[in-house]
Amino acid sequence: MSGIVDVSIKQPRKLTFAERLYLPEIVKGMGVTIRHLLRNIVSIRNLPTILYPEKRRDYSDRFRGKHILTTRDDGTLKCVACYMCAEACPAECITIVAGEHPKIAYEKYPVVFDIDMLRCVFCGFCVDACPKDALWMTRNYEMAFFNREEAIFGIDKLIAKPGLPVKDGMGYRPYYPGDGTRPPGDASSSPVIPGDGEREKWREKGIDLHHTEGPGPLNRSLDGSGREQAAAPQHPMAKS
Amino acid sequence: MSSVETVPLAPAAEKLRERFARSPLSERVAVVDLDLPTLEVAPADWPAVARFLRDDSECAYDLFLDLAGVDNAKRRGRPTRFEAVYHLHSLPRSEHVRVKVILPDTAEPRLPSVVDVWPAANWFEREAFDLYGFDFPGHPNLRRILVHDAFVGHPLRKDYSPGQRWFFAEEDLRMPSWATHTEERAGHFETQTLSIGPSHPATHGIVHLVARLDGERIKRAETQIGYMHRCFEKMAETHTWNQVIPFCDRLNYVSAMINGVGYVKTVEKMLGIEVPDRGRLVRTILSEFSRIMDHCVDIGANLVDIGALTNFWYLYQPREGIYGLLEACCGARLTVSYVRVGGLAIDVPEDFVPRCRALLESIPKFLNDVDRLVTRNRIVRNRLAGTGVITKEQAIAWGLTGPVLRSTGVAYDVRRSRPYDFYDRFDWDVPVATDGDNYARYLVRMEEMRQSLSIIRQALDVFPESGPVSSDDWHVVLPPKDAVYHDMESLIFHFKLIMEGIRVPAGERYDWIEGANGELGFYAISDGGAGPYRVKVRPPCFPMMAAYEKIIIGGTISDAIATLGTLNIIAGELER
Amino acid sequence: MPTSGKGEPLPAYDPKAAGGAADFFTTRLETMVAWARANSLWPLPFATACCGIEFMSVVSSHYDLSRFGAEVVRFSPRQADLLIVAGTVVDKLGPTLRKIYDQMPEPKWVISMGVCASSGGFYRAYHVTQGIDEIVPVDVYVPGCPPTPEELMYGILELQRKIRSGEKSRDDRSAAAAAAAR
Repeated sequence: MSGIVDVSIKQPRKLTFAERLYLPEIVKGMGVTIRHLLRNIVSIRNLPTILYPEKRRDYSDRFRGKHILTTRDDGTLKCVACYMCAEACPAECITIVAGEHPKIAYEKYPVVFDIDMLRCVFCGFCVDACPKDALWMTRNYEMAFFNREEAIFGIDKLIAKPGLPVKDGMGYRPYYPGDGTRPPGDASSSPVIPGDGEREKWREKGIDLHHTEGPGPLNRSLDGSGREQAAAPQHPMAKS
Repeated sequence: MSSVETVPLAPAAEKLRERFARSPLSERVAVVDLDLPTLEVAPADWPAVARFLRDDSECAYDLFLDLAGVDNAKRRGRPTRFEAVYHLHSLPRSEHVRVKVILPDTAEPRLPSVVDVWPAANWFEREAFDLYGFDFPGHPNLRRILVHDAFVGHPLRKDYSPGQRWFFAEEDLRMPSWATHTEERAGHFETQTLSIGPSHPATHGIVHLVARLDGERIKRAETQIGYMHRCFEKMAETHTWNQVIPFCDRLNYVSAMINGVGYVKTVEKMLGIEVPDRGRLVRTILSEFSRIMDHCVDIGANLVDIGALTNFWYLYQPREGIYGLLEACCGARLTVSYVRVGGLAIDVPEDFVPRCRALLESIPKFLNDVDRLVTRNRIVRNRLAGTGVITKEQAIAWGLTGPVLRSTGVAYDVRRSRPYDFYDRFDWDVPVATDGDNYARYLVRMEEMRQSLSIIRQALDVFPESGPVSSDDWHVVLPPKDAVYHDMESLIFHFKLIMEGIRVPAGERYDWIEGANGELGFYAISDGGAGPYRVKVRPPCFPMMAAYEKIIIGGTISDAIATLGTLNIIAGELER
Repeated sequence: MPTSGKGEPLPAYDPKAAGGAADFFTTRLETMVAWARANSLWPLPFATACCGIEFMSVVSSHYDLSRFGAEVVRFSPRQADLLIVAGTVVDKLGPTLRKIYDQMPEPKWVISMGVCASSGGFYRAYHVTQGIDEIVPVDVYVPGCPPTPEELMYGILELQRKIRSGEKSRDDRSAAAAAAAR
């Protein structure tokens, strides 16, 4: 608790003669900007500019990007189609259709699990809601679509490929590397998806999960393998 | 909640009842005690009661805060379908009061306008007319304000379907009636009408200003808003208590954290749960950082408008640092969704304190740069000093709060007058200025950033290294994940919370915090269901924007642009 | 012209049949023009809400859009060829958006930044346009609420790729389709 400070007293209204001359103040102002310029030239490595796409900003491992459906050791989805994420989603962007799992042990599984990326607000509520550790978020934010149908991601685009690194690494999720509370059992099989702790391991294999430097979208050819060709663009008004 | 009258009243409400008992209005006012002293009056008595509340020395409710319409169609225990709920504040006595005007069940709900008592009521009454269809006889300009002019019906009524849209074409846009016809000649000049916006680089978001110019001076002006009305309040009614949090983030998106804190604080008070100190400290620290961000954007954008571009880059660098901190805590830069009812979504990262301290060191450097470039610069002085002047009396009458009110010399800061979290334990000053012009607002904001840094520094000194950030009441907060995976009871709590939502006991609450722009209030009503029955935001921008068309009279258009910048209008909060 | 079926040899390249040097030159010219267009986009930020704040980040020092030749932010539609709709567009704003779009000279492109502009986002509400493609044709949708600056830059890069490849903007297509229908 303290008092009140009157800023107009701290800052006298009347300008001094030098200040009224314009020029000294302008020189002072130029001093500030030139100092910045010189500092940037001298220590060009410390420029604030991030040279995306060649370099990436190192986002934290809580980043809320594209979702990922985690898998069990046998490569099946952990998701049991309980609809909790769909219920928790404020944007109602998750569509699930449940089916009987052929293996009796798993009971239910999602036949359809769609996330509409152009509805999703990336709030992370679905990850919080999942009781089976089946839905995480990744650090992948590189998405752009040429039409709205393309933006509905099904299981094929969301599923974690066992044994393969996740693009840009994992983001928002219930547990983090170094978290001592990680439970044994079912949930612990998630590390088939390499998280941060395994960054080094993958780097040894020549795969950089965070590829702070490397080929970006600039260097990819249009018909390249990185991304499927957009469907022929349709004018929305031409449909009707 | 209607049976509250039988219990003894809180001292504040008791005092109010005594005061009214001695007045000629004694028979016509019922005093009940909810979270605030609450008066219930009939529409016919409302202007007399309003005058009494404002003028009586023991009431002196001089600051009009909010008007919320309520539709009781789906809520039990209220006598009639519609009521208009006013919130007022008394600056001399530092107290809030609520007045409910109970509207009789007629085809067209009607209550007298109180614009002549509190000029700030003007736009709020238009909003109630727009969204609820309340008629205010005596209102000078009662027409739609938020939704477009081709709209049919009143969207916040309970029988209005949330997704029902109406086609709007350009011909439907209604200009102010005075703007459509040419006017008298003033001297030898012909007046002209100028329409600025809705999309104009200087309008910061989407605002439409229609001004009548006599030569270069503005003679008359009217602002049209509603170009960003994205139905926050209707959305709140169709989602659960926790799901409203992401919507709150998008009210004042420049300082998203503060909105979330204000909202969950209201809900937590309704639930009566306590958040651990550590969680509250995190909220405080991040809120103050958000305040700095907000002021950075405001000052930066304002200086761009008046031609000083470099400051924008300097002020954006601390912002990127704060974004980095927020992102490390919750995973998003701008719309954080970090708070939850009962605590936080997730504990802060291990390097939280060192990160904050690093920011504390770097931010003042940029502030000093801007200081050096701007504060004593004569060009900036000429643009800002003496323009957009608001007097103390005007500011109070127009219902302004926050830095704008403080720049006129009124030291009303919610963090001081009604301390929440730990603000009463920190040593900080409320910056005020006396001139009430654009330059004073600039100075107040600059000083406020420094005070925020000081608050953060003190909060970090007492920040506990470990401990919970959320309450352990599993009826409200999701149980820890490892318990959910392995413990049946926790899973049931988890399931109930996700599928049914938090059950907030029926009742209502108005709670308010100091947003970056002023008093940010949340008036929430629960009927015991899964989601809010009604959430009304008291947006600090709204009365400011309403006052804008009066502030700029007599100035030039270029001054009007500078004034719009220093008022800091955030469209998301203005129009919700 | 023989269609190249299985086992059928393609005819040898004959410059005269293909139109000669002039044709070669115009094709090159088209590529050149596409390249120039892609690398000198003049964006008009139609910033209404939260995404507008992130757009400011994109043009400020941390991300610096000028590295892609798109830093000349124009607020006049007549001087811009890329409309970036950043933020929620509500029904009241629809005619304004269309008017701005119509004023832009061709060829013009539209990026819908953020989910509110792309689909209405989580505002399934009485006053929110459910995607600006109700009003203007959109070339690239960028998800996120709001997208990170990199995400928007990725969207701009995708658009540049699209322009470089010679693919026409959505608007040209719709005009051609309308002409064909007539």
